[in-house]
Amino acid sequence: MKHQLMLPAGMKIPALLLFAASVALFLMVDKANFEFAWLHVGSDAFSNNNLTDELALSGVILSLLGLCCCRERIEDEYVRSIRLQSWLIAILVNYALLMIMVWTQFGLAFLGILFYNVLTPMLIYLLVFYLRLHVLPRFSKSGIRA
Amino acid sequence: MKTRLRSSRTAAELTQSELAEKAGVSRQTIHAIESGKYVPSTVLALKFAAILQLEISALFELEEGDWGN
Repeated sequence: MKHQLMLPAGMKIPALLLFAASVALFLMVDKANFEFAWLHVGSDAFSNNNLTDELALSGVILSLLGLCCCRERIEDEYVRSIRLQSWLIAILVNYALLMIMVWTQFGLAFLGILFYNVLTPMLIYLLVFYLRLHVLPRFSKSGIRA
Repeated sequence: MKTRLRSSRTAAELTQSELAEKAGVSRQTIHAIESGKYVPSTVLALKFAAILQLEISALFELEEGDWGN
């Protein structure tokens, strides 16, 4: 991934904070029907809507994109290679799971899965990337030394 | 590819962090190369050779399997 397309490493913390806030807002909307009154739009039966859930989902998508596109403190050739492999694994796993869902879930249940499928490629990528870069080397036989 | 980066680094009394800093890469990169999980680019291999003051062939060597398709 070209450096010009990536955010500075320091953007990880703001992105994480936005992710936490957006997920919290999304859960409040989903579980407790929470709505911001000032986000109410439209007056007739067709356009009447509250945009709180749109705000929450936009926050989740933007923060995940931000986390995916943040450089590491030292973004070298090995990190770039792990990044590329992690995207490939994420896409393969995501579509393998989707294929299973195509044949096992129907109707509204499948629509619900499609909704979460908007986020799963980025979530799987982040999981694979940080596992491979920071967690797995600590458990290898030789380990990382100072 | 066979690597002697770890033995050459320890012979030069450098830690993974020190070698990483001199080469401008992360510690994870040094670890991955030393454990044979990652083959460095030509530029990085030449940097290691220059830092450790060795010929590149003293650090990296082709193995039989590297000739296969």
